[in-house]
Amino acid sequence: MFHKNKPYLIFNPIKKQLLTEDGKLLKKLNCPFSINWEDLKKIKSQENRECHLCSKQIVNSSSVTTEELMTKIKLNPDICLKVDLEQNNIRVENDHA
Amino acid sequence: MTMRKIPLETNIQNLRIIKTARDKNSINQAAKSGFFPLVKIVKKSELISSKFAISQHEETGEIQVLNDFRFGSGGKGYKKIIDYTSYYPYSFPSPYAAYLIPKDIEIGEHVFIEDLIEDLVGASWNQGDKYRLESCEAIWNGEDFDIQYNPEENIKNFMG
Repeated sequence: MFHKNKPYLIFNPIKKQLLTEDGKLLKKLNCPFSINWEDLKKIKSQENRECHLCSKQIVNSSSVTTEELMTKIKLNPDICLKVDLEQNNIRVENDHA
Repeated sequence: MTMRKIPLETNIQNLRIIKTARDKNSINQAAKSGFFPLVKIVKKSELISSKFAISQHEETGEIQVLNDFRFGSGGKGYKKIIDYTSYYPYSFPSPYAAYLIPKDIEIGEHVFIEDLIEDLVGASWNQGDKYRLESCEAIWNGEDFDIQYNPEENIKNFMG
């Protein structure tokens, strides 16, 4: 369920950009490969998964709070994230500028 | 277009990357640099669509564009004036584009197309929106690429 009264992030699926609630760019999800989350190897006792293509850990952005996610991106701008359009801390906005 | 033939253990990151040129100048520049431009029409797929609605503030007249059913009518003072309407959400510089084929490409070579010209569904949302597949593996058959795409695969996530 989407909680519009809680802090949320904006995701633009056309440009694959993750933005803050006030529209500031946090990260472009630039993985060119079409990967299904369900096919990735689970990492023990964590919500995250390991990518078989580049061996990076992918952070499930639905399993952390918006504040935690912003901190993680700030600490590591190259962090790899998974965004699901159905997750409850994301609002989808296309670009119309 | 064919179902995936490239084995899963293939190291995609080692595949040759095929570039796409999307306007006349880029295509001709690539031809001068030794590539053969495989020119194609940019055709919109009817399967790909997103949606929008417009809410307008009843006093100030400002508008909000809504793309997510979960966001209601846009907040206090806003009233929906255009209900959710489907549209094609992408735009391209030209109605044609070209894959830039390297002179030494071999028949059967596995490649990675960075910017697909074909309009294939790459991700879908349970609100009905369907988004383009941007990149894909392919096999060169001597005349064109056999795109390695599985339409049955329903990807709902974005990564990167």
